[in-house]
Amino acid sequence: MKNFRIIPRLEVKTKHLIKGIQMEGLRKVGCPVEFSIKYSKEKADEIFYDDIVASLYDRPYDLKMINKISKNLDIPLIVGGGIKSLSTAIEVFKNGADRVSVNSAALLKPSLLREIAKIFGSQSVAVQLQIKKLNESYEVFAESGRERKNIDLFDWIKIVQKFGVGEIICIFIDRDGMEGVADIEILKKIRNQTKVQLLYGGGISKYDEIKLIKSLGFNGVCISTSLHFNKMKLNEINRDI
Amino acid sequence: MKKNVGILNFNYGNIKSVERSLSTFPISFQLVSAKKDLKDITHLIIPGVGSFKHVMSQIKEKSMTKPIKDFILHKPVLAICLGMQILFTKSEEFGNQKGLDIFKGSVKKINVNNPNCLVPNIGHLNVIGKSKNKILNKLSNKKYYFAHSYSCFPKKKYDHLSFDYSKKKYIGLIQHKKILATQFHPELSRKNGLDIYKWFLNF
Repeated sequence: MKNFRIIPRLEVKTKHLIKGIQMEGLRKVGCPVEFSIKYSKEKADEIFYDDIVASLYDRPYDLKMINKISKNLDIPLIVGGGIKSLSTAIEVFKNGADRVSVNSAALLKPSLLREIAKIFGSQSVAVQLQIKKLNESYEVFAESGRERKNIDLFDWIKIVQKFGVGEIICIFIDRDGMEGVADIEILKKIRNQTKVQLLYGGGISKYDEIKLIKSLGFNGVCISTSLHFNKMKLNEINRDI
Repeated sequence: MKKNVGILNFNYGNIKSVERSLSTFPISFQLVSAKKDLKDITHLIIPGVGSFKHVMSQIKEKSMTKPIKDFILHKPVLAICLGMQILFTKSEEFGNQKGLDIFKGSVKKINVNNPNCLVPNIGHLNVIGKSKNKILNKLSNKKYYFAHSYSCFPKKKYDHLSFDYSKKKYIGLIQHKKILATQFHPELSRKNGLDIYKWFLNF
């Protein structure tokens, strides 16, 4: 799988690795440090650390945790959730992030993306899209899918690229923690409108689904439930397809 | 003499990841943000994860242009990603910017002659090429981690290895005098990356 990235996504709430279904009903899975070491040994391409409550409860960032995770890796660490300002981003980079992912704060102030890119470069700024289908259109949400912003998915994809992000991480809320991936037509449309790196997350539970996402031109996948609960194994993902 | 590695620190970069790689070797290391910090340093690392304009303006603001250039003339330097790019004459990132002009050539967006190619390039990619330079041959045909929107286009011929992206060849690594410059991130490239540090520290 040439240059296609397999990325374990670790959602973290107050020092615990957690997992929910459609971003609700969170349950504890284990220790994020231990899981990140395990995934890095199993040849994950990157680790995506996603603090799912830092933004919602406006908590100070758990920099110690990022430091601990970073210390044990030999691959890149993407840090997301609660990157609310340039100064938070700077602190997060100082403590071990190799790239940051922004969602809620960018929805309030898209220019934050450019501010970070101006110091760290576009390749170091990702934006996470929490996507939900409402009637016939798709919208992006804030705060782990809790807050509707009335922003159309495709309008937002245009805006974030204008503000200089290097990567778009699409997480489909309705597929989160489920089995089965999002509708192919919408994924094709997203790829068509995106000129930067593009990752997919939500419902991956079969090796063929990774193959499918790759064939649509995506650059990688974020996987959580299937890896955390041993439904899929990183070393069994065929990298040669 | 005990090896003491300096890491250039201007409030950018992924310094923790560089420190993590260095901590696997029996050496000491420290951050460098002023001329006086260069005094006790045997090796210098210019980290990546930054923008050309920001880093060059910091270097100028702190009057570090000449001290860094003098250091590079005499002692080993590992320049990573953006660190490699600022060694060139100029860059197009956020407008035209002047670099340290140690390598002759320019830094341009990777899709400059190739509109179909995605920017940035991110991922673990094979570095390829043969060279008379023995070190380069050892480092070739291995995977390293890349994350960049810009690439180096030298005007002179330097010993180098390449990588393929979107059916084009780009410069992956240059070895010139005491400089090892990598477009990729050795600190994010598993064991292959640590081999780069090992080679650099033995320089």
